[in-house]
Amino acid sequence: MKKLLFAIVLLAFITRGGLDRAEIENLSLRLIVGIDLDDDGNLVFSASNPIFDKESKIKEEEFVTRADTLWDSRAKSDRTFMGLAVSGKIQEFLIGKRVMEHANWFRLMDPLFREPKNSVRARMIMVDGPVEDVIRHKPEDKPRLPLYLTKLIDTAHRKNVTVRTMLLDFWNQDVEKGKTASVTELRKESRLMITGTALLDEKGKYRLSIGPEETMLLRMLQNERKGEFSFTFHALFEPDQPTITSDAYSFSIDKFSVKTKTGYADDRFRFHITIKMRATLGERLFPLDMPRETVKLQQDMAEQFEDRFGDLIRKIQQAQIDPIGLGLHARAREYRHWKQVQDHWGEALSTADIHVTVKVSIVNKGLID
Amino acid sequence: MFTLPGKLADHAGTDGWICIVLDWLLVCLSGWIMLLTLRKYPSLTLPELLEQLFGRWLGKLLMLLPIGYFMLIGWFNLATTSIYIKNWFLPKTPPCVILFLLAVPGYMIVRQGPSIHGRFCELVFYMSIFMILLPIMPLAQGHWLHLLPVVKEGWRPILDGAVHTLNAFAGIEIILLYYPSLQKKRYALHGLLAANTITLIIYLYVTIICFIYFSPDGIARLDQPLLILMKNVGFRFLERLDSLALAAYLLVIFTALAPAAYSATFTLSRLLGMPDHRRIAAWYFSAIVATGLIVQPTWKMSLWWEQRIVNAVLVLLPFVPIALYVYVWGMEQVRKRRPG
Repeated sequence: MKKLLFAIVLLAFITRGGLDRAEIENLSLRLIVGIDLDDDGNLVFSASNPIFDKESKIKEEEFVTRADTLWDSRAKSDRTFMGLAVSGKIQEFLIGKRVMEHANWFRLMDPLFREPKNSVRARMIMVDGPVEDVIRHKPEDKPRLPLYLTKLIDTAHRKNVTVRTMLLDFWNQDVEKGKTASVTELRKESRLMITGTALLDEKGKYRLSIGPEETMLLRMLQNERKGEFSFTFHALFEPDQPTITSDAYSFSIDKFSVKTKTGYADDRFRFHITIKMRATLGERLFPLDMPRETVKLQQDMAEQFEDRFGDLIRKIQQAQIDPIGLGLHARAREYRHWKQVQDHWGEALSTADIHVTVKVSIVNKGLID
Repeated sequence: MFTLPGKLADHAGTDGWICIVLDWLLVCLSGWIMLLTLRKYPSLTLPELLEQLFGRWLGKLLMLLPIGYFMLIGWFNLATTSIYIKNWFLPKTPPCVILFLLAVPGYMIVRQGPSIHGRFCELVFYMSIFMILLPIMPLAQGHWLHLLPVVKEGWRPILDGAVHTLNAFAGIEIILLYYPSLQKKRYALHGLLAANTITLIIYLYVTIICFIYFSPDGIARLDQPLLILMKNVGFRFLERLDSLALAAYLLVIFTALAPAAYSATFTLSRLLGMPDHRRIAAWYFSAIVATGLIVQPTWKMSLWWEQRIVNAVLVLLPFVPIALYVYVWGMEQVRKRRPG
C-alpha cells in the first residue's frame, strides 16, 4: 500500500508537466494567413485570429507585417497578439497573385509540413488583388471571415465552379511531375467573389485563369465525379435570338465516366479521352418533339461539349501545363517515353495529340414534354 | 510502420509493395526452418538449448548474441517511440520523463511470463484492429495509376528495397524463446504463418494507400507518409486524426517491445544463473531511462541504430536458422556414426 502510494505520488510529480500545457485563451489561433508582395517586392504576411473575450467588441484581430518567412511572421505577430500565435488551425491560405507569379513560391510553406502540430488542411486560394483588402474585409451580413470563406469555398467546390485544394493536396500536385497544380481564385470587388480556378505550371508559377464553367469541364477531365455539374447551352440547331434567348437549354450531369487511352507515335503522346455522360434536363426554352427528337438534343450536347473540351485543352497546351493529370496516364502506360520527358512534361504535352469524344444520353427529361 | 512506405518508395518507387511480399516469403521460410530445429528439443529454452548444443562455455558465450540483439531492439523501440511522442505530442517535455512513462508499463508486462505476453498481444490486437479503418477515406481519393507500370525499373531496386526493409518483419525470432511455452506445438507453424500473413496484409494495405495517395515523385521526401496522410483526413468533430492514431498505436509498439525485452532479460538471468528475470528486467528498464538522461535520443541516432538493426536482421533471419539447422543435423549424423 505504501509502495503504491509512493508510486502514485512520484508519477504525479514527474508528469505534472505544465511544460507542454497550452490553454486556449492564451493562444491566438491563426485561421487565415495571407502572403503577398508589396509594390517594392517585399513579402507581406497577414493573419486573422478569432478573439475569445467578452469585453472586446470586434471578435477578430488582424495583423499585417513585412517578414522574410512564415515562421518569422509568426514570431513578429507575437508582439501584438494577446496570445501565442499557433498555426495548427489554419483554414485558408490567401496567396497574392503577385506571389504566385514567381516560381517556387511554394517553398515558403515549408514550416507547415515540418512541424507536426501544423494543419495541412488549409484551403489554398489565389487572390487577384491585394490580400490585405480581403483579410480586412468585414461584411456585415456574413459571419466572421474565416467561417465565411470556408463556407464559400466548400459550397463553390460542391458546385464545381472552383477546385478546393488543401495544402497537402497542393504539395502533392506540386511535387508530381505528371500534373500541375490548380487553386481557387478569389477577387474582392464590393464583396468577395470566386472567379474560378487559377492554373499553375510545373514550378508553381501562375499561368492561366479559367472561369466557373471551364472549371467544371476540368473537373470532368480530371475524373473527379463528386458534386454537381450543371450547364446551360444554346442549341446550335435553333436560330439565334438576341433579346430573350429562346434557344437555350440547361441540364445537369448525374453521372459520367472518363476513359483515357494513351499511346505514343511519331515522337508525341496521343491521348484519346472518351467521356460518357447521363444528363437530366432542367429547362428547355424552345419547342422540341421530345421523345422522338431526344437524339437531336443529345447530339447537340455532345457536339458542344467536344468543342468546349477542345478549347480548354488548347488553352492548357498553349500554357504548357497539365492540370488534368495526363502525365499520370503517360507514366503508367508509356513509361519509357515518359522518362525522357518527365522533367519538362508541360512542353511535351503541348505537342501531344489530345482528342475528346463525348457521348451524352438524356436519362430524365423532367415532368413536361 | 509509419516510415515503411517512404523507405520502400525511396528504394523501389511504387513497386515497393513487391518488396513486402518478398520479405514475407523469406521470413516465413526462415521461421519454418527455425521450427524444424526447435521441434527436436521441444522443452528446452534458448539458454538451455545453446548449452546443450555447444557445450557449457561456448553456449554461454553464444548467449551474449541474443542478449545484445534483443536488448538493442527493446531499447531502440522505446527510444524511437519517445522521439515520436516528443515530436508529436510533448515537444517541451524532457525525453527521460517520456522514457520513464513508457518504461513503467513496459516493465509491468515484461516481468510476467510468456503466457501473459501472449494474452496481452491478443488483447492489443483486438483493441487496435479498428485502426485499419482510419486511412480508408484517402483510399477512395487515390490514383491507382501510380502503381503502373509494375516492375518499372527492373528487379534490382525491388530486391534492394526488400533487403533494406526486412527488419519490418523481424520479430519471429522470439519463437526461439517462446517455443517451449507453447501448449500446442503442433500448431506452431500455423501460428507463425498466420502472424506473418496478418503483418503482410497490414503492411501491404498501408503501403498501397500511401502509394496511391501521394505522388510517386514526392513520397520519398516524407518521413512518415502514413501520419501525414491521416492529417489530411478531417471530420467536423475531429481535425487531427494523426495524433489519435499515433496515440493508439503506442499499444501496438508494446507488443513488439515486451517480447524483445523479455527475451533479453530472461536469457541474461539464465546466463547469470538467476532463477528469475524480474530483477534484471527492472535494471534493464532503469538503464534505458538513465541513458535517456545522459544521451537524448535524436533522429540521427535512431537512424544510425536502425541501420545496425537492419544489418543484424539481415544476418539473423536468412542465415542463422539455416546454420543452426545444419549444425544440429551434422551433430546427429556424427552421433549416428559412432553409436556405442
